Amino acid sequence: MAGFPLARETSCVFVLFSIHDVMKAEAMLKERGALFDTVPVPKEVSSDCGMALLVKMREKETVLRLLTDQGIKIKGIYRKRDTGYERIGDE
Amino acid sequence: MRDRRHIIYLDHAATSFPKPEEVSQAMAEHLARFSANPGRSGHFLSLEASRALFEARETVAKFFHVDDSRRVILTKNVTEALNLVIYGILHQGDHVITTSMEHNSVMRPLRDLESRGIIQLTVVASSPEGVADVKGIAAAVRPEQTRLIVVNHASNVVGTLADLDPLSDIKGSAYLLVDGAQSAGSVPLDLSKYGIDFFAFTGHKAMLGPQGTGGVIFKTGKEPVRPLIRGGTGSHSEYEEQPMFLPDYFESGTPNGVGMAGLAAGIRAVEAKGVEAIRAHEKRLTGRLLEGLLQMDRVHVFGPRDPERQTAVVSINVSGMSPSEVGFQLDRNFNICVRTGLHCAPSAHRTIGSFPQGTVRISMGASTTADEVEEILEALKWLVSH
Repeated sequence: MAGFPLARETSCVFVLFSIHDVMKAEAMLKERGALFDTVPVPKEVSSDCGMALLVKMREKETVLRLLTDQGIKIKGIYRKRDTGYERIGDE
Repeated sequence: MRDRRHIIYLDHAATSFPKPEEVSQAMAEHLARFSANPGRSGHFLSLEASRALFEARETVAKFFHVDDSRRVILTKNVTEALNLVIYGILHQGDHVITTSMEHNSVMRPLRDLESRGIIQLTVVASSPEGVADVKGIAAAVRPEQTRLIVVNHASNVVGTLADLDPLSDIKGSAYLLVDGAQSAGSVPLDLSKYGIDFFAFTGHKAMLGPQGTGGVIFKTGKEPVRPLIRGGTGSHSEYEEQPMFLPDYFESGTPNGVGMAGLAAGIRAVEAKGVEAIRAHEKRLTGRLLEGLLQMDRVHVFGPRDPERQTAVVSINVSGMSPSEVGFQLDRNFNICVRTGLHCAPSAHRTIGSFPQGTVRISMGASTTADEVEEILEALKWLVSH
């Protein structure tokens, strides 16, 4: 294992509105062969005890499009920086 | 000790038994492998439990032709589902219409609200066969004031099926809540085809799941319903207020993950047989049972006496014997399990003319065989001749 993947600047996290939406997104993204991981929501982003989707920056647009196409609402997209998480977009 | 190996179980309207082997397997696997708390913790076991719950919800949604599974609110049974809608949508001064064939899971919450002066209730008398009086319901609708109409899809006492089409048409601005306890799994049902606002179901009857499972389907998810309970959902944990989104808004506390995994397996077993095929099978059994019963002099058959117009539920009485005595004899002498009495539906028994003694209810399921129907007919023949 290469350590905690959230530490990499080449990744971003998609925070959704519910665990149901995360499960729906996960099933759909798997079916479409997207590269992602399901991870706890980083505490720096939200104190929510939910799950989020960890996505490579280069896959961000693809995942965003797939989620939007399926009507899955996005609470926020965050990129890890040295200084913390930077919000880089939402729906 | 009697030989209890050969059991004829004809109490499927109470709960289906035995459950398909896959149901036990799914539940045992859940318990043994990943029964962590779904939607709470971030570890992989919790995630697996979340996936199982999501899959169960999706399975229910597909089964009823619901396109968004967030609108499937999971509860512990249909009673909780009905209570959720009834207590959640009604306000002071609202008018509610229901039928005289309803189960106490509908009657008791409504009578509670009525007795506290919160709602006005109109109970429209159904026919002695248990058929809802659609014209009477339509006439009882008060524009602007009638908030909710509650009807069952199939009677738990005599199996009478309701025609949902006209009910959807006459409701006006009222919401329509259908109690599908007795129909879900045994009667083909595409919810997208009806103007039903809420469909309540139970998992442990014809859907072949375990007890402790049920739910209610919201037509749009935007209906103004308050939750029955509030609490931890694993979401929006930073707030002390309930999250407003579905399904979390209505589902507080650790869910019955094991049970829902069993329910999903039950539904898959139903789908493997096909609801159409199950309905056809149950119609054949009901037809044969009715034919045999109607030939017995001392037996009175309640309800439509027509397999096309009822589920595989048949209520009878034997003259000169109380329902409980008939039930006891069937159980003790023939290992036949039926349910006697009022079936938690006193109003329905008043409607069909069997109050207060009730009836002997024979209810069949997908696993009931033609031989079992012959056996209860033989047993009843013996009973009426002794």
